[in-house]
Amino acid sequence: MNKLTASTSEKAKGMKSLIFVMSTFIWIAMMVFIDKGILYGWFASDMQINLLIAFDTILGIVVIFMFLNLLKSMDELQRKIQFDALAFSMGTTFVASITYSLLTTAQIVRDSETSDLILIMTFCYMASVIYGQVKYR
Amino acid sequence: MKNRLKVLRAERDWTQADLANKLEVSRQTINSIEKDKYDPSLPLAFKAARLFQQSIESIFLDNEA
Repeated sequence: MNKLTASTSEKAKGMKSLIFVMSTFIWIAMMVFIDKGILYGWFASDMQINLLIAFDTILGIVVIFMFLNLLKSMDELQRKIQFDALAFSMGTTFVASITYSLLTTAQIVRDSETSDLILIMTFCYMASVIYGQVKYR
Repeated sequence: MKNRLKVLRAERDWTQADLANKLEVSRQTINSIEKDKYDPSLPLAFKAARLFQQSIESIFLDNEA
């Protein structure tokens, strides 16, 4: 009975993770679609653009709450791995953004792109989660 | 922090997965605790002590003591 409960809990956790990953993917894909759509004039009106941006923002907020919910369903070690990864990625992004800003001021870098920082943050987060999973395997 | 979790588990012929189920954590957590890679929280240590019907100090050993 205990094993059955644990197995059901694991399945529920796996499903939660899958839904979270899918939602994040949809949110990012939609963000890219809106960005490119505005750039290449795919949309008929400003109203359409505003609605899509509003929907994407709401979806982003939903993803935040899904992540918090996912964290709650994890056990203490899994949560530690996630928190370590978040701290590492936030610190790296903070340092990178200041360096980037200084390079832009010094005109060494001309076009500063926020997406570069998001890319660094994503890479650091994923690398740190993998490192944690290997370390506490 | 050293611990006797592996010995206590072996005495009862439990696998890491069995113990993980009983303590409601992942098998990865049990493995990391047994290998001294991770120190459990106080609530988890109390739970283990209750499960094995022993005191916390007899399961988890302070390195500096």
